[in-house]
Amino acid sequence: MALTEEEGELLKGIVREYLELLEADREPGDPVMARLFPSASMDDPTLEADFRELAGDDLLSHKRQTAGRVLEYLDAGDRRPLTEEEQEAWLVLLTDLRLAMGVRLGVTDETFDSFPNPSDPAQWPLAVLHYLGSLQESLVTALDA
Amino acid sequence: MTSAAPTKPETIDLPDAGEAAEPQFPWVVIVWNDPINLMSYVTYVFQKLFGYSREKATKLMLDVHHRGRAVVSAGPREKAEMDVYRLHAHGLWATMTKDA
Repeated sequence: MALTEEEGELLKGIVREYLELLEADREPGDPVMARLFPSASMDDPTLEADFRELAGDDLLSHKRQTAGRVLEYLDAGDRRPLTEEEQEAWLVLLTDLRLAMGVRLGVTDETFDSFPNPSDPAQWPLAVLHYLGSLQESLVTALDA
Repeated sequence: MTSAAPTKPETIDLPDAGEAAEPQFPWVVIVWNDPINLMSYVTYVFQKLFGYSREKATKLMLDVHHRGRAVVSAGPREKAEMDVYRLHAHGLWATMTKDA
């Protein structure tokens, strides 16, 4: 993964925060967790409860493992090309990172109509969100090829 | 959904009245639109998880984008549960429902 040192440090920080988020006690009604672990049914609470019981732990450990693998690569200062499996792990992790950030920032359909101004500190989180999106876009292109 | 480059705002149409499920496929899996996921990524996930052609995956993604939701698979309950799980594991918001 061709990352600059700054990009590597940025990503490490974000991935670590994400892992902490996964470990933390979930506040009921936390919109980030609700989006990372979405409902499986719109209309059937029993089905929803069954699904949670069946899949909740698996999904959590899947997310933890995926993030852990990417963090290992980053911590090792690795710059070698990713295997296809690693690219998929990165892709899935980037999705979650963007979801978590996007929910926190209150992203709407109009948010991506323009680029944030990188010299405005208040827009820096949004700039990071765009950056993660462009990383994700290039991974999709690589995997699609 | 979004693309990596800025796009004009889109009007989201109201969802369809509901795609009818066939008797041997009583459960349907629905993917819901969100403002964060990239269109290219959603298309990729549909291809990867369901083996759909790029054309079909793109059409489904556009349905999600423009109509707010789309039925992406149908089948018995166990298959629907698995599909919902796999979609969640890829960061998409999917629900399952027994369509009358």
